Amino acid sequence: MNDTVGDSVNDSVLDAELLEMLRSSLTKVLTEGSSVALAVRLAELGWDDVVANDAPSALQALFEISGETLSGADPLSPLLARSLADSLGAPDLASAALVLPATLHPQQLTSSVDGTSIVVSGVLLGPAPAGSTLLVPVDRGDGAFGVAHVHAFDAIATAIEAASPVEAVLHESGQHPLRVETTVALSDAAVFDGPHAQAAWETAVALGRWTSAAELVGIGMRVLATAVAYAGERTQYGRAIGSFQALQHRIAGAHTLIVGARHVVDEAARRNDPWVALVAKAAAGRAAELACTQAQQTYGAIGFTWEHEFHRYLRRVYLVDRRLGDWRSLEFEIGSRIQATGRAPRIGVL
Amino acid sequence: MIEHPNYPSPTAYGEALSGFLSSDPRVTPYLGYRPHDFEEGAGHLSNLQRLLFDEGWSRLGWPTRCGGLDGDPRFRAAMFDALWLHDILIPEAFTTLEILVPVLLVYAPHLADALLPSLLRGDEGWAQAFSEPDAGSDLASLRTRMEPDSDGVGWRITGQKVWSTYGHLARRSVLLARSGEPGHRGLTMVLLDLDQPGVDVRPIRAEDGENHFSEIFLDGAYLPGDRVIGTLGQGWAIAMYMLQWERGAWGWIQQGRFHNRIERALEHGVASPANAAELGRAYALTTALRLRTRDTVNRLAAEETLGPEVSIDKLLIVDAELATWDAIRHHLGAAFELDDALHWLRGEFFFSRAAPIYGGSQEIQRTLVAQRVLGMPRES
Repeated sequence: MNDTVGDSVNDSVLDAELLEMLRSSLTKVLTEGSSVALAVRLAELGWDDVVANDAPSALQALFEISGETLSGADPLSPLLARSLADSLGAPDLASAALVLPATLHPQQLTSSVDGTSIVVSGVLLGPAPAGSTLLVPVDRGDGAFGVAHVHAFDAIATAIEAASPVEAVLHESGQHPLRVETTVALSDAAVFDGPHAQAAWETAVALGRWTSAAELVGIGMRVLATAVAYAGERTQYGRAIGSFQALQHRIAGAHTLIVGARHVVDEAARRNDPWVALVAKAAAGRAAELACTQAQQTYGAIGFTWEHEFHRYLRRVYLVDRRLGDWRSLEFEIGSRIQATGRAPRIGVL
Repeated sequence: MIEHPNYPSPTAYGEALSGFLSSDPRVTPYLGYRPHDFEEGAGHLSNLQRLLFDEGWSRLGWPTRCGGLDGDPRFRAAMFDALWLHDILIPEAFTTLEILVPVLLVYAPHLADALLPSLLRGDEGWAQAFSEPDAGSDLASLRTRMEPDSDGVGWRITGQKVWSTYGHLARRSVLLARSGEPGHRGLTMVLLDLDQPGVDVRPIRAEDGENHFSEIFLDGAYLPGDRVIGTLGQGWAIAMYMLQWERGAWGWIQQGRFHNRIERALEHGVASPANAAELGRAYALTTALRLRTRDTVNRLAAEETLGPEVSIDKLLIVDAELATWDAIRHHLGAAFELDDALHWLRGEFFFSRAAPIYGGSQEIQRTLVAQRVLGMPRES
């Protein structure tokens, strides 16, 4: 009977003290010197050594703090490009910029191969670094999956030139995604396909899901912490509003879900398992949204103003939740899988 | 039979136990067992408890001085996981052990040495008697009192207890009584024999139709002097110590149940896309509960002292329990109301409605998390 996901538990290499030091360094890196590329700032921190030591803890901290600080950097695209490069055995892909489907959902592709060209329709999570190539998950027709690597300089330049910033909901969220719409000649790209490409994409998606879940947990924790602080200062009827149980219960309920989600993210970070990553992101998305709902109610009218920072966190939650599958679609996917298999796998061993 | 219980990890032990559960014919009567009622279940499962004790499996995780084979609480957690994986109900007594044994080991070593071996083996059952008709969430206001007996060494206990799990099937009960001043300082924890004059135990039929708990009427029941757990006035501190065990172990047992029951329920009826998301949510919450309580069990195994954060474990139990059973009821459709063969799922569903009430209500836990964990202000 093999119904348990996970092998014996690897304790984190980084102990609590080292992790705290890492977190405070990352907070500095993510909030200061934003004109310098994140990769450069991380390199100065000795990031590669930290990752070599304990990649799960390092990445979890990076993404949580990215959420807490509403960092404008995009650590996700390079991470996924590196993952795809490793899986596909093509090292030159590691520095490519990733064009996600316009749905932001990994199985709902919007770019496709059409005869002799690739119709690219998608989203860059941040500005593509100068000189980078493009990686595009594509529908190769009749449901076949592929990853296109656009390497021709002119084609990339045309695509980047035409990319337009997305502002509708995201302004102020800290993130600056770009819409990409272009057509590339098939001869300007290499297309990886077959089960190998599919598996590479699934591995990258799992990595993207659990790190995004960590980011959602980070935002949720920050939003609740600031709401708790506000509720301790704001008085009505001669007492701090935080002393009213009506508010305490809202916040405690959301805190419970955030803590629960964080435990799932902890586990997902230490497994290379798409199922655990899926559950982590579903749990974190729902928890972060509830945290925002309860924080907004705590702030009352002031939280509804443009001037107040709250809406920036709310926008960030919406964006990160959508990225690689929102919690509603993921809950549906989880439940459908359990219905189909009749199995509810136990995640995590003692 | 465990001869040398030196398993390198709880997982290795769990695998060995799984081998026993799937191959030994003496286990067969418990696989997929659905009790006709609470009393029949308690009797049948006490035989399982004895089998697991005599074969050594349930002794791992408890100290040798009380009949165990040493090892930490993670081994008990691994046993619960293996039992649920084989669709074997956890004897109610195991839950009681998780809560009461650690207390006796720390606060009443003399009682632990003398009485725990027969408790672990299931030769006798114990109950817990804390709540009273006028003291539920506000436990510190309880009024059952203990007064010195005329013999100069013992005590007489008078009052009324309620919601005592296992009460009418138990030989003894751990009980919280007032020995002194009002409030939490005047409370003392004791171990009282229920089979004596002055004790009247009456089962209460619960919403699911079963006698899960009892009322206990006490009219001058006798307590020998050596049955005080801890010292006089230490009752509240002991109750708080007890809670940290209750949250972690109970939460871990429950996640095993929820995983199992989701799978069992799907063996009936037809899965509908309309119910998929709700099922996915229940599973995600159950996973969060599993990983949270695994952490708590690990901390208990490392002999850390747990604080108010264990209320988060209880709140996750509530979220997972309600979500799981709602999803199961919706999946079953009309079979939930009409299929006699599903009486056991229906019964467990109704019991789940107590999740936000038992063991400290959801409101109390949320207040504790807000004030003691998050530092929100108390009412002034």
